[in-house]
Amino acid sequence: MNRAQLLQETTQVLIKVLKHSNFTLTERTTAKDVKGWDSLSHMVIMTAIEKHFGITFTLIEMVNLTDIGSMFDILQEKL
Amino acid sequence: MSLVSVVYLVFLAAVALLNYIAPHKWRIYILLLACGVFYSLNQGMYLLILILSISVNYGICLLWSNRRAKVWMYLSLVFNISLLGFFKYIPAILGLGHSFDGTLLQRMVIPIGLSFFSFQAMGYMIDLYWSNKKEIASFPDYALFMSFFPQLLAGPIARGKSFLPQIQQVKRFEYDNVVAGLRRILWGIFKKVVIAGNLSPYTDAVFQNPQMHQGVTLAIAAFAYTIQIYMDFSGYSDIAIGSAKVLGFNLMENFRIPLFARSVTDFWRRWHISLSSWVRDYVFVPLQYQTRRMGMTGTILATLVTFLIFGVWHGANWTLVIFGLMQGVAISWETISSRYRDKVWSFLPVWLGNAIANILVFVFITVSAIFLRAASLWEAVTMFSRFSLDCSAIYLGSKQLLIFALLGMAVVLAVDIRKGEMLFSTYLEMQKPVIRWAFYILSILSILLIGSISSENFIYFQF
Repeated sequence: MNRAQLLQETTQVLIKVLKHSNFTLTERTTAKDVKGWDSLSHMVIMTAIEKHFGITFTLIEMVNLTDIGSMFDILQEKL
Repeated sequence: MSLVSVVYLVFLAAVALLNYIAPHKWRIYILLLACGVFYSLNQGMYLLILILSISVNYGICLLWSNRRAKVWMYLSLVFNISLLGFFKYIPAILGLGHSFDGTLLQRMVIPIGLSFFSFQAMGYMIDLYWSNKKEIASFPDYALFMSFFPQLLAGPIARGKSFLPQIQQVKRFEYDNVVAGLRRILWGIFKKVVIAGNLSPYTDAVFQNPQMHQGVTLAIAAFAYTIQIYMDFSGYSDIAIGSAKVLGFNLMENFRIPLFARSVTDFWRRWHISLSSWVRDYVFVPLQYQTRRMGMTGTILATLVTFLIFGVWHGANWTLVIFGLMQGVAISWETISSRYRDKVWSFLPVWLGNAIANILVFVFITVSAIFLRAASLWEAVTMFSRFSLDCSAIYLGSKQLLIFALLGMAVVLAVDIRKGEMLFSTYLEMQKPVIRWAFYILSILSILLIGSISSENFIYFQF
């Protein structure tokens, strides 16, 4: 799966979980840039992404994520 | 050595002078010596506990290998939790005093700063385990990270990744940096002696004898205590951050105008940030990861356990368990109801919604802070059982001291409203010289003329 597809599908997952689409996702987007993506909702979002793509993040992978691009690096390795 | 004393200011000036005139390679040893002297002057032989903690934790770092990384990380956690247990929890649990209530006598034998430097050590080890780069700091760097005197007694709890790189930076004397640090120290002393110091005799008198008071007096004392602890701890944090700044170091901010929080969740992102972010990163996130398949239930469970640990961090007392759980329950409720609450708030004008939310959060924190302050469950229950709207016998103690504290609080509130999220030093820097000098002169005069050092120590030293 290429990164443009990953961006499109991740955007859909976020819209579904956060119940709004007031954000533009890019590879440099961080949680702080998206309304409603905070420490309490972070794991719910990550679990939804895991389910959507059928993969599992390790805890170490999750805590080292810096932005959407770094998540795509891991997703591309696992897909 | 009290942080609010001429002795401390002379000590800080002497260390800063030596730090800036000595060759770069000697500076770390000067700072380490200063840390040792500072801790010894505060708690004498307990310096050995600090040295033990540094040595054992660093020893574990040296034994570190990728193959058994998890084992060493857990060994570090076991060591630090055991140290905390030995000094902080076991004496209370074994009933060396008032069973699980932790008397003042027991608290006094806890090495000062133990809860803070132990958490720094555990954070460093967990970061090392999680990080892709397994670079271990040199022993002097690690020792300074663990014992840096401005933050040694009550934080802010530093993270290795932000503090350690600062040690190796060549620091030249920078006038602006030193002035910014001194401004911050002055602001911290103002909060401590003009507000917290003047409120302390009143809150002590009511909380130590709740059965002697009733009605509105208890409510006033509870609100006064919330203000007192805020000014005491944020004042301490200002002095710690300012002292570090004078020495050329930047510490994590510990408060971000918490009285303007719109929810309890928001409050804990603004109050004691170094601890709340520590428990978020090292307790809540791993717990939430383990329970993530349970959805919202998992998040709630992780929140409750995290705040239970957060409460117990403050000490071995059932009141602190309740204090922590109250925060956990409130945040869980806010998480579950966020969408509905947003709808309710949207019916109100923003300014009114903000004002109501600020007041509700302040009242909740005040009610829960009764458990933080009360020496026992009995004392807390007595406080609650005697609350009423009876205004017939309001006790205000020394009205003069309360007026001084209120005036000081009005100044702090006005500054907080004006500066918003901006740092205090930056805000003051932007003012005209005449306003800055008026601030310096009025602060110093207030400290000298109406300030009160009823207790030289800060409330958070006991934790």
